[in-house]
Amino acid sequence: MLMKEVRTHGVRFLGVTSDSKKQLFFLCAAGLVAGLINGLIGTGGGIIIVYALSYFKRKRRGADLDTEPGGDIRDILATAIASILPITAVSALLYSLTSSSATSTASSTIKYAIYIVPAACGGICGAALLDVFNSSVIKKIFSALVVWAGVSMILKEAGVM
Amino acid sequence: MGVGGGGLLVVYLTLARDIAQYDAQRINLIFFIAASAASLIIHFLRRKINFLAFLIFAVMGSVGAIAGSLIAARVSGGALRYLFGAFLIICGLISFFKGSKRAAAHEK
Repeated sequence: MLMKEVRTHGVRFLGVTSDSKKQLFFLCAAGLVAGLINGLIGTGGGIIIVYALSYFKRKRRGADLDTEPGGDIRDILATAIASILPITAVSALLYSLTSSSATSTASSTIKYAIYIVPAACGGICGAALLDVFNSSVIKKIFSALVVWAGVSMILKEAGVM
Repeated sequence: MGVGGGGLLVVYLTLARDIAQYDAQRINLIFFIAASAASLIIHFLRRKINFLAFLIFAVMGSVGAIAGSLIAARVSGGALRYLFGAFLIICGLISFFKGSKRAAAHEK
């Protein structure tokens, strides 16, 4: 039924209807890559989906989502979270089946469950602070921290740190 | 940015707690399920979720996730850490320069 709809009406995507097979191929490829990255490194699949969805939206509007009113980016994030949930569930299941240290990881998961509450509080505070401070400055600081974290991980693995 | 609380949790677990990369990724996946499942209830009620896109991403993404997870189980923890580090650097740089481009566009 889905494919019939696609063939008959094209891909109806966030208000865009097109018969282009390229769009369907692009969505499938983006989903595949998102799943592959999420399975491989345990995170990051969501952003691939967000970029893919944003690409179509921008193409339709020819504008930058973040500068536009209407909160469409939130709908994209909601779709991305909904999509990444089954992907994460499949990854977590396979990690559990293939892990050689299932018991120790299970106990570690319970041990670190206490961080859920502070993490949630941090998220709320962060969201509130974004409205108070200049979000572009915060994004730049956080981006630099993320780069630093990535470099640290590589240097630690290489034995430099 | 591509690296939210989940990505940072892996950084914390590996750098500060010396947990193996594979186990840290596994803990992160379990945390993400708990956190996103809760937020999804609100998203379903308040946001417009595109179900065709959701279906395509969920099905194709699950296929990719099977492949990715099986590869992750077979490669060394060191290789996974390099990949994860490289992913953080790429996401951070894209976000940093995307922000600069946007700020320049605003100034114009």
